[in-house]
Amino acid sequence: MAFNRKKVKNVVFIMLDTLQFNYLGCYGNKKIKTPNIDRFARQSVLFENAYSEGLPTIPVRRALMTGRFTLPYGGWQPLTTDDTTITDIMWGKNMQTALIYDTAPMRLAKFGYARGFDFVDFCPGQELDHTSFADVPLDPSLKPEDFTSPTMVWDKEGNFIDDDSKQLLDEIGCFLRQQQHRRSDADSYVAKVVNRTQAWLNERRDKSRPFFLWVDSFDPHEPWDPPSVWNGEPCPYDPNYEGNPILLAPWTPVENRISERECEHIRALYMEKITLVDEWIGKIIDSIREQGLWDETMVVLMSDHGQPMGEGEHGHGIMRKSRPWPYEELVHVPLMMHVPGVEGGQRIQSFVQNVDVTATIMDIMGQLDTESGVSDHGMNTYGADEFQGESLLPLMQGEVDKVRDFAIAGYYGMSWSIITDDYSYIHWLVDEEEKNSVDCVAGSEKTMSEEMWTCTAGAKVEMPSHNELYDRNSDPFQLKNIAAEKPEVAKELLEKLKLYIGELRTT
Amino acid sequence: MFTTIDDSTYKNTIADTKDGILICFKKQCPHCKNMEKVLEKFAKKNDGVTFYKLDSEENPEARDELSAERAPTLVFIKEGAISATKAGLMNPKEMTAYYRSVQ
Repeated sequence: MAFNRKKVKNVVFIMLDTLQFNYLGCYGNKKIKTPNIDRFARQSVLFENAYSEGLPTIPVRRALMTGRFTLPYGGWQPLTTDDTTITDIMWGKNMQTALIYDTAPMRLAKFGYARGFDFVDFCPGQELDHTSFADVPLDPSLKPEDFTSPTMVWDKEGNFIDDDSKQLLDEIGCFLRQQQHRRSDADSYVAKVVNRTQAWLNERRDKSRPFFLWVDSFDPHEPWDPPSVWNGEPCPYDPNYEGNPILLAPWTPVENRISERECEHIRALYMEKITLVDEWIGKIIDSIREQGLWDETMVVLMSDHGQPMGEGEHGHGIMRKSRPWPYEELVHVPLMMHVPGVEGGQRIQSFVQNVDVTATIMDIMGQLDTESGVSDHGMNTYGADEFQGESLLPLMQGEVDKVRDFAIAGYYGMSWSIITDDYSYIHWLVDEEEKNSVDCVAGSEKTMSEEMWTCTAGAKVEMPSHNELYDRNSDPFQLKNIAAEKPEVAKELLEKLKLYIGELRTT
Repeated sequence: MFTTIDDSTYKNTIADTKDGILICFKKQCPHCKNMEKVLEKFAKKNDGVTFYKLDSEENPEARDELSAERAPTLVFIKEGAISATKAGLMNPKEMTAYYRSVQ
């Protein structure tokens, strides 16, 4: 079956939050069991070099929904009426739209990330939303301190080490209130999202009309609470560990707080959680097939970012996204697309970014060349004329080898990174002048004034003071800074990075 | 599209302009080229606006007088006088909004 735009009626977009690319079998991991996602990868097109540009959760959604880069413009912010989203463009077209999600940052008051969807189903309980249940009585047999390591909380005298200790126990307590009635895997967060998705796909949607469905599962994001934690069994990826399960860890550097053995166990719990997510997400893909939708539905599966989880290549000394550090383990993301009529099993090397995913979806939906205007009834209509991404369809059909020479990544106003075939380079916006000229013009009037850059108060804006250059072939996880050895390369990349940010800033 | 002006002509040019925008640039500034592209797009949708450019390194008098040390700096001219000055980058949408705000 050759690709025919008219035959692709539907799009299912599946976002799995905090799914690190190299924790999947299809990206080369030999240990972690992800049979459903691996099978999907074999039948779809897998992108080896997909990078999220603006981090973390919210900027990624913003880029995907608007088709525009966020790094030059802003970070953790609500959608504004100046933004044109996929669903704004689809308004007035014969396309039913649905968002089923438990990603609480998208649900933040006034943030508006459910805007324009015909059907919205939010499953409460995940991070930022778990405090909704702070007053629910907790089963006295469930103690927050039993779900983390005591040495992360108390010093040798039995006192809290610092404010992070209390915050950690409070955070765990809130999750326990939520999950205390859990009886099986079907009560997990990902299962709830998947079951509600199944209900919409099987029953709720109008089966006579095409649809765009966005499924956003916060799992496998922490808390690291895979089945073994609830069943009181050893974690299958670390059966010999003898301490408490570690549901969460403090928002501090790893050194002197989280031991290497504890980091290893956290990674094992994360692996087990990924296996659980794989099992449930497989049900959505199976359902698409069972309903006969496979040959008329584009399916995209991706993550917004990975996760720092320890020392070295695991996280550069931090646990969770507690610093605005755009290293490989965070910014390199898994991305796969099934497009009916496009040959499956391909592995694409070209750099791609989130805005390209949006352009591809709209290209396949025949909406890429649309322009904003006014309808016959005098209503404003919106087009894709402000998109900054490239459709990946020519790439998937073998018409071109690449859509970009490099990728960018970072945190608005704090860090910029450029990733090329040979090098990766990180530019820290550390001094006040750099921070306050985020549109890269010295002395610009635009100031970096975001009160919130990530979802947790425990995170701190601490950054290295020197820019970093890494050999991407011999050192893909950025452990040996060679900026001093190759200053000419570092300078060239910084200029390229600033020029590109400037280009994006003016388009 | 741009008329080039310098230290010797900028005062009279501004005085004779009803509705115009001057970009003060530096030759080695890549962002100035980006901003010129924005002005070209803006020009297509805004008849009646006159566009000028001035090399701020080669014309120190005008640079100091117009407070255009930063590059690029845009100088908005209305009825023979400067109505606003703005340094930095804007995209076409922001450019249009800013232009309207200083009318």
